[in-house]
Amino acid sequence: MARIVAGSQITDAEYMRDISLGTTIIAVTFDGGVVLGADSRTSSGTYIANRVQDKITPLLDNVYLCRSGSASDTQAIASYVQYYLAQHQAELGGPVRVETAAKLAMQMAYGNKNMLQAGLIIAGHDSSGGSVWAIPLGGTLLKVPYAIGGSGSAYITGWCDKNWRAGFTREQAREFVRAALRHAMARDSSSGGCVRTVVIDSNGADREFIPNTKLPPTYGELAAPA
Amino acid sequence: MQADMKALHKMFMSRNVTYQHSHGRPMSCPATAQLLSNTLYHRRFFPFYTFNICAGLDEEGRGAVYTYDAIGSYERTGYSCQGSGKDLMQPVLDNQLKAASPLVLPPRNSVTELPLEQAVDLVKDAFVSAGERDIYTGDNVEILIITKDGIKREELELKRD
Repeated sequence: MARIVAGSQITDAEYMRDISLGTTIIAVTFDGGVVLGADSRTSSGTYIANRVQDKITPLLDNVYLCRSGSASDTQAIASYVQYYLAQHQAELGGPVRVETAAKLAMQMAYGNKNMLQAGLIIAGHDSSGGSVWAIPLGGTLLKVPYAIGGSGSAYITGWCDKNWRAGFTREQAREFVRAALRHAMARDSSSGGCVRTVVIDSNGADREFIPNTKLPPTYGELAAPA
Repeated sequence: MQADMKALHKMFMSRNVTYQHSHGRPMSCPATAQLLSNTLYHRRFFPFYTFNICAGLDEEGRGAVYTYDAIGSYERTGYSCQGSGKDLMQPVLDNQLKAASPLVLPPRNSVTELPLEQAVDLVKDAFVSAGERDIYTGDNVEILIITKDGIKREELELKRD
C-alpha cells in the first residue's frame, strides 16, 4: 500500500539534501582587468555530488559570474541575467558595461530575496577597466577592489586582508587567487576539488584549470613530509 | 564524537590494566570485543556516540574483525567499515571481498582469502575512493597491520581539500 509522504520528510532524508555550492569564490582586480577563481565542489549534504563543477559562468564575453549558495537558485539567476543582457546588448548596439550586468543580477537577487539563497560575485572588463561587484545573500550591490564569497571565504578573510594590495599585476592577481583558494579548500570541508580561474582583460576571457596535484599542499598543523 | 571516543579509550586502557593484574596476561581480541559490547550496552539509554570496529588476532592466531553499532550490538565479520564515508566504502569492499550472491559463486571465506599486500592495497583504494566523494574523509589515513609478528604502522596521505 503506497503511503504519500509530503514536504520536508523527503527532503530531510540524507540522499535528498538540497544541492549546495558550499564553495569558495573570489575575484580580484588588477591593472588591466580582473581574475576570477572558484573551487569545484558541489555537495549534497556530506556527499560530493560533483567534484569538478564549473562555478564561473559567462554572462557576456567580457563579464563573468561566480556562483555560491544554492546551485539551482544561482543557475536560475544566471540564466535570466544572460537572457536580459543578450537583449540589452542587441538593443544597445555596443559594448555592455560590467555595472549594468551587476545591477541586473542585484535586482534579481534583491527582488526575490525571501526565496533565494545566492551569493554572487560579478566581474569583468569594460571601457573603464576591470571591476568586481559583490552581491552577498540579501541582495546588496557593492563595488569592491576584490571580493570573496561562499562558505570557504570565512576561513581566508584574515589571510586576504593581510595579503591583498592595491595595484596587483596580472600574475600577482592570479597567484593571490590560487593561494587564497588553496587555503580555503584545505580548511573548508564544503570546498575542494580543483581550481578554475578566468582572467578577463581587453582581449577577452581566458580560462584556466588547475588540478589538485598542481596546487602546493598546505600542511597546517600536520607534519610536512621530510 | 571525539569526547566519547576519548572516554571509551581511557576506560578501556584502565580495564586492560586490571585484567592483566587479575589474569596474568593481556586481554585477547575476543575478550576485548565482548567487553566493548558490554560497555556500550551498559549505556543503552545515554549512549557513547561512537561507531566502533575492534580488530586483532583471535585465540588461534587468525585475523578477527568485530563491528559495532553505538549501543553495543556486535558481530564478527571478515571486513567492516564505519564513519561518515562508510556508505561509499562498503560497496567497494563488498565488491572485492564478497560474492554478489551466494547463488552465483561458491561462498568465499573473506577472513583468510586475501594475501597481505592485496589487503593493504584494498584498504588504501577504499580510503582514496571515499576521500573523493565524502567531504569529511581526507588528509591522512593511519593503517595498522596486525600480524603474529607484531603491529606495523603505515601512513597514507589523502587529498587535503
